[in-house]
Amino acid sequence: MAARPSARDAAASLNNSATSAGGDAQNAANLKPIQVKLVLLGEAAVGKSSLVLRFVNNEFQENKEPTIGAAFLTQKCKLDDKIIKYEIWDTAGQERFHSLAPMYYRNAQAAVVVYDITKPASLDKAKSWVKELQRQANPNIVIALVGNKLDLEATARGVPREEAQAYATEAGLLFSEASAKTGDNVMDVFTEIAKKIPLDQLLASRGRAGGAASGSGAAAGGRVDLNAGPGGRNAQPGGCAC
Amino acid sequence: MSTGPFRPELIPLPRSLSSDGGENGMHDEASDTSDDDLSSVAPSADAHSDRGTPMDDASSRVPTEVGAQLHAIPPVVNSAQEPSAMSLLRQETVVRRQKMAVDEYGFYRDPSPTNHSHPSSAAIGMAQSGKQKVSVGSKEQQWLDLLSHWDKQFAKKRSKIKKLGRSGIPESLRAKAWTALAGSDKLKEPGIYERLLAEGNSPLFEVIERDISRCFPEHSMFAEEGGEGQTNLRNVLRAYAVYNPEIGYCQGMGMLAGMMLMHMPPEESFWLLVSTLEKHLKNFFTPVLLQLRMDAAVFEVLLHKTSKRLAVHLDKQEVPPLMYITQWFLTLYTTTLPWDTVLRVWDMLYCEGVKPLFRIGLAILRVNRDTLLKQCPTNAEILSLLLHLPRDKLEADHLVEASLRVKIRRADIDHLRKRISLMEIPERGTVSLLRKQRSPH
Repeated sequence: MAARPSARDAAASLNNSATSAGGDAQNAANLKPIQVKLVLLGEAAVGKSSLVLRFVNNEFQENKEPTIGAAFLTQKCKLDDKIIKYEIWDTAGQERFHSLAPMYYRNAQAAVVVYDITKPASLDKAKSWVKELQRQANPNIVIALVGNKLDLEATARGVPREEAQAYATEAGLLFSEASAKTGDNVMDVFTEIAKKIPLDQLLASRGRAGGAASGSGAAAGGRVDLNAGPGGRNAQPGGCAC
Repeated sequence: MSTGPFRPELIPLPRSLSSDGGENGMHDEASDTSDDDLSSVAPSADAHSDRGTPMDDASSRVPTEVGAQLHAIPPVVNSAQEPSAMSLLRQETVVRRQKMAVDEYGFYRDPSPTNHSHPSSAAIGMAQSGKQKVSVGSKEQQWLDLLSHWDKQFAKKRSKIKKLGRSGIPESLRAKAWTALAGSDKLKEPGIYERLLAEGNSPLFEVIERDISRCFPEHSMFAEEGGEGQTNLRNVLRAYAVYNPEIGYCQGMGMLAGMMLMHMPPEESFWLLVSTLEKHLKNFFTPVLLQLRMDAAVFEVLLHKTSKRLAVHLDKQEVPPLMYITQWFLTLYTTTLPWDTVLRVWDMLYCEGVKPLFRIGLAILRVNRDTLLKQCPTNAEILSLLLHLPRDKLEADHLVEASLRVKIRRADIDHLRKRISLMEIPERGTVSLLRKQRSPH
């Protein structure tokens, strides 16, 4: 990641919260999770599903079956004193499913664009996804570029870390190399995203939306559509896409 | 981020341990919050001295105990500190295939049913009805009679075939029946398959290659890296990509070819793939997935017709059918349903055409209707359910019966397909669009 000055601080604050166990747990229990819609994009077989499976189930499957259409998973996390609920769209990688992608990234607050560090062509594809997101997705979307299969680095690396890093910096993306197989850096990806997303803003708007839309299940989680721009479908808080 | 140990500043919270496995609506929000100790997660990089070494063939095709060590990131509890809740709730799961028994369909059977992708109905504790068992012999005889005079019988006995198909084709005759019903035996021209393989080339071969080892990795036929099963699968898909360059290859077709190869030799599988994609799944796999999009719109209308409340709920939460039927239709339910249910769906497809695909989809929604309406308030819960269906309601006889209670006619589908083909296909909102179309004012 380009800059992470708060990494140690955040760890420290979490440590603190851990020591004041009882009170903190109670506090957290009272918190409604902040819903963050995240979409995974990238060429086929770069390991999108495997990254998600590692993050959500701490599991790795060799020869993971290809995703058809998209898969959907959720994972709740705690960052400092906030509870985040990631709603993860894991999309199919083959070019043919490209036309379905807008349906998944339309209201996303975060995107993980994945390439395979052993396959240079997959970085090109990642770049085109980034372009598309920057053009068509929610303008505040937090994008992380992730080079997967870091476990193959010694024998098969095809994309120099510096090259991808330089591109990510230039394009204003979070960047990381990770391995779904070993688990290296997988949590980091989601941590950095969580830190970059304006959670307070999400919380604040939730507060406003909460009362008006309490009858709607959609608002129960306090989901806010950051994409409520002119093209956004959901002007009303209760109708937001969660 | 740099390579190195976890910095678990972000702490994944435990998942609900309730029987439905996933998120549980809004009831459990944050109630399971734990104050995990930060130091409780072991650094992963150091634990894997062989990082960076690609696995050899043997170990990658059979993740054994060695594999387990390779992949595991055991949440090590620092005993001096409080025990970590994370270590209890995020247990490492490693898929072990070696030493596993193979079930009646050739899938490695995991002793724990939750880890088995394709449990048979028996495996999930649903006894087949005795009535059906008794009738297997006579059913076999009926199919033998039909197949022995196929050309004469086929046209005359449509309704009998339909009825027989609904109760399941006997396994011993399945390959023969599918082939005859799809007419792939008639399509087959000697020598073509070999020629396609010998002379053909396509840039899609590389795309196909990425999926070969990922197609039914839990089936004994396809588990072996570079084995005969994978070779046959590669050949069938390559031959098709060359035979029909307009369609070429699309993910999902591997599952179809895989299913066919489980029942018949490669050449026969190829021709069955050809006739299935031509007859029943025409234009499903085009570069823009044309027919799939149209059928998602058709599905939306049919759902509205047969289960309005559910249709309204799903639409309100912005869950258009395209989000779930893509997987169902493009793999012909092979990645969705228990295996014996999948076989029954395929039997019906070949006996009746495309209608059962819609009916089964609508039946899946119907059997989960109460859960969807009462326990899935937002699209997160809805999609968690629909894309990871609980197996208990999908037992073959049960789901087939439920599908037969979905009252739709083939003519409805044809009519809707025609109307939708004339308009720009919407992602959702087809019902109101069609209404507007009918009454322009």
